[in-house]
Amino acid sequence: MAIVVLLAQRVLLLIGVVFGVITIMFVLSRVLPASPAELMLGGRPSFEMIAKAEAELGLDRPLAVQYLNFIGSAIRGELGDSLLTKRPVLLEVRERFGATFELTTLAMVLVLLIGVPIGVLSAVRQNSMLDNVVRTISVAGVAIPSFILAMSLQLLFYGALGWLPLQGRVDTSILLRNPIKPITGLFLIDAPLTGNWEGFTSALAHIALPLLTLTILLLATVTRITRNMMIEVLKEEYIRTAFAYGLPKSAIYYQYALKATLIPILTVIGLTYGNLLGGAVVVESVFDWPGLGSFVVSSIAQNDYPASLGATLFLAGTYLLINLIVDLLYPVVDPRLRTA
Amino acid sequence: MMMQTDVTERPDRLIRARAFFGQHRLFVLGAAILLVVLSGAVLATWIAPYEPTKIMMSERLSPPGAEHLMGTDRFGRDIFARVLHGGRISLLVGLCVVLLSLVIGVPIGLVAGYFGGRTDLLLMRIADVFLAFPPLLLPIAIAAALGPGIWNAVIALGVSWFPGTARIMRGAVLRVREELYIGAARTIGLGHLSILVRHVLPNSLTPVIVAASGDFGYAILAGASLSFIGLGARAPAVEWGLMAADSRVDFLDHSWTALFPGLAIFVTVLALNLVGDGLRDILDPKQGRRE
Repeated sequence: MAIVVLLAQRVLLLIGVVFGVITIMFVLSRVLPASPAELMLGGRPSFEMIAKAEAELGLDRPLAVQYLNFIGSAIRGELGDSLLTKRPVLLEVRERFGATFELTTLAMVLVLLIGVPIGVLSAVRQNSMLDNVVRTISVAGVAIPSFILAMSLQLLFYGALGWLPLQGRVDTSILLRNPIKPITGLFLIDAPLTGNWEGFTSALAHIALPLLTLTILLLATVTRITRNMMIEVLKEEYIRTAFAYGLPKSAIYYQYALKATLIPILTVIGLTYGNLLGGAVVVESVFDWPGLGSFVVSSIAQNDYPASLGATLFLAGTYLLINLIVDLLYPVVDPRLRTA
Repeated sequence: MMMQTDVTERPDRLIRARAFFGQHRLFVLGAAILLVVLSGAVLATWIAPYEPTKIMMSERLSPPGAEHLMGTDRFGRDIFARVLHGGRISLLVGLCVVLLSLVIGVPIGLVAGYFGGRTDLLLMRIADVFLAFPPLLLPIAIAAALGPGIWNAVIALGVSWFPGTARIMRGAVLRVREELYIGAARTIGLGHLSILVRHVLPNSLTPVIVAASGDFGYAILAGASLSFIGLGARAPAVEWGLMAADSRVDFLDHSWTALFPGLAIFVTVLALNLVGDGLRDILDPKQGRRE
């Protein structure tokens, strides 16, 4: 019963935030330097042409009506047409979402697999050699600009060693000769499902560098948060009690303490996913990765405002959804939260 | 007696200074690096061997050497001169972003924490909306709407960051509000405004200042990222993120074009983070790391 109440609370809060996000996007779409109608027409349209286009877009109506229309269409997922390709933005966004999802989710898995154990170990052996190394690296790690890291990896693995491709998601020759048939939109799943091993190897080689960039970028943060949270857990009285009972250390760390760290790790997942989605914007641009992040950047560069607004809205929505899932998982992991 | 205290005071001060340096080694290191970067930026006009925008096509893409300490870019512009000058914009951007987020966030956090209730609920839900965007995405959207330009980037970053500042401020105010001296001030009939400004504000600023010093480095990173994707500084302005973006055509064969602006950002942000961490330890030892 308590879980239902919690769920209802969370969803209500989320609805409020979604309206807020849509409102911000509406305000942003109206402070653009040029009127959307002018941008849509391009070139140097006459006043009559602008007026006609504005009427078509509903821009001649009162601001309140425009706002309500904006909310309505955003909820229905009608994000308008891209000014550049003239196709619905939702379609463009959907095509690119797979690329971003594949990259960020894999990065997430890697970051957790590497960062969490290191953070735990660093906390257990506080002030040891390992701990000091980890702390030093994590201070330095958060100071690296993402684009410089991306370019350095390109320099090393493409320029100097020639092991990995420079950019893109798959070889162009494969796209032409033997394209990966979309099932889920994730190349690393679709390629083996359709038996396209050539495509799979190429996709794997292409994802390696952007994946490595995002993983390194987030590793420092995740390790540090895990370490700090684990230190807090180790201060808890039941841990001290367990030590006093003389339980074996491994049992204390891996059965008693680790269970309690599941909660902070959930928090880390929520935070990290946001950072990954944000970081993907720059990293995808460097690697020409055909995802939502590079789409946002290229549509901004080309004044394609419905496309950039739509993609931003979609990315924010993804982040909200992930945080909702994380919030709902808290009571699953922590029985104390079930009676909220 | 006077003589004696005079004699003992000096070594005591020295010992204390040495203890401070010993205890906060990383802080001192960060501050030293920062001083170098800052002097480089301030004195760029006098130190730099060339004009940062001077085009010398005959010397294009020369590697680092005696003539050009950090080499030249594809217009033959001296990268050392550009790195020195670029620090001006980057440091200024970081400072302005942090100040802007303080100017917006501190009053909001102050009011929310002090009055509580519905005011608090409303203000914090508004802050939640801003925090609902993945980091960097909201500044990108705002900068895109305002149009490219370094000051628009500053506004975009400051506006996106104020909720974090407001939240920290609110937390500090919630603690201060319960203090005895606030109750005393109320009892002698002081109005809300003078209690807020004269008693609550000065006593709850420390955590915000600590957080702001930590944010300085991130603000520089974010500003450079915006410039890199074309939403910040634009030529002919000289800025580190923009230099890295310009080098994308050449960096595979001429790595120094990207390496030095990148190093400049890294070293500056690292120094700022060390100073920020140190300030936290010195000013606010009880406060844990903010995540």
